[in-house]
Amino acid sequence: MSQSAASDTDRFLALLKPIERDLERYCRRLIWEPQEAPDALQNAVMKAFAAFERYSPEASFRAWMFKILTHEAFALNRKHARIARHEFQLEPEELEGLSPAGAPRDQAEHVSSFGGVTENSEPELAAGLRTLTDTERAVLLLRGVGELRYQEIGESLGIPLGSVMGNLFRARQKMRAFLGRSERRKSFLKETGL
Amino acid sequence: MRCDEVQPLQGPYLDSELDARTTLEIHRHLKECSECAHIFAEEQMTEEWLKAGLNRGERTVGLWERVERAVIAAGQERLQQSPRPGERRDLIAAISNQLHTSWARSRWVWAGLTAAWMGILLLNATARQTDAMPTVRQPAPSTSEVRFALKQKQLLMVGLAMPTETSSAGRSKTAPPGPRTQRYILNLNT
Repeated sequence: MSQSAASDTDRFLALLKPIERDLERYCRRLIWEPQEAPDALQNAVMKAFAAFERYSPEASFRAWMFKILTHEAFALNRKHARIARHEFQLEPEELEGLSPAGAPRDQAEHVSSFGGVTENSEPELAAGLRTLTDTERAVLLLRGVGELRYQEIGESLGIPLGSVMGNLFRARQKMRAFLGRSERRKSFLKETGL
Repeated sequence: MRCDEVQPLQGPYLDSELDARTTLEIHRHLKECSECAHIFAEEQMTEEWLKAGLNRGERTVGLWERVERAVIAAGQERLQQSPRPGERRDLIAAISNQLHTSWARSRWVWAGLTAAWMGILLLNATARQTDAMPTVRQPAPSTSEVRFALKQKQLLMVGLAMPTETSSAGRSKTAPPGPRTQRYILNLNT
């Protein structure tokens, strides 16, 4: 009994260590209040450890941990009612206005002109993420940071596969539109010398 | 596949989420259609840029050290709460030892307690026996008794099923008051 409990701790930490960086990145992007990210992470890890006896080794530990962390982050976001205050939805018409037919091209130009991701792109990225709903943001981050499969994302969030694809599509569309708009604003300011 | 069929699948295609057949069909289409190939290439570039941006930031060493310490502490607490096999054996031995010592010290008390317990059990058993209702064996009714009983029942049923006599006005006659009602009326009058 004692040996199994000790080995459980070791096993848990061995599984946790390789995904710590990704969990932290995910949590910092998902949670509204950056100062709450460490608490959310610790709470999620402790909850996972408490439930580790029920964890099946056949399942993906990565997906399981991301699921618990997502619930923790959502609970904190709800608790502080940040979503309603910070989140704003873009209507489809507005999206179309922002990203006309050549939007991907604009974005590609933006990407190539940007010359890679630097710290300067951080505010843009953070602001772009704020245009997404909680689910869209979680789906985008679970794919981009967590590198989970669509099936795993669906299981983590408790939504069907079709919803995963829909949310991911909308999230990418909004991000493209936002970044394109941001780039157009920048070039406008540059041209006008403001 | 046509362009309008291929383009909505660019996300799942780039995420390698499509089945082999669809992936191959899209791959063939992209070889033939330069416009779709261009859109897909741009999409992939955007996706890579976005992914690189999202994956910036390193693991905070201090934070994870704190988290791991908390996990180890919780694990140790769990260890302390669960009894070890040796500890369990010791506990059983201690209880049996205690019982043996107390038996050696006060045998008469234990004997009295045992006798009292036996008495309670005995009383309980006898009480159950007296509580049981004695069954009286009655002889089976004869055929004539059964016929008589059936006849009585039939008469009773006919009496109940008989319609009440109706007056010429169509109203049913009120039933005559029973002896108790009569008594009640008499009491009121007096």
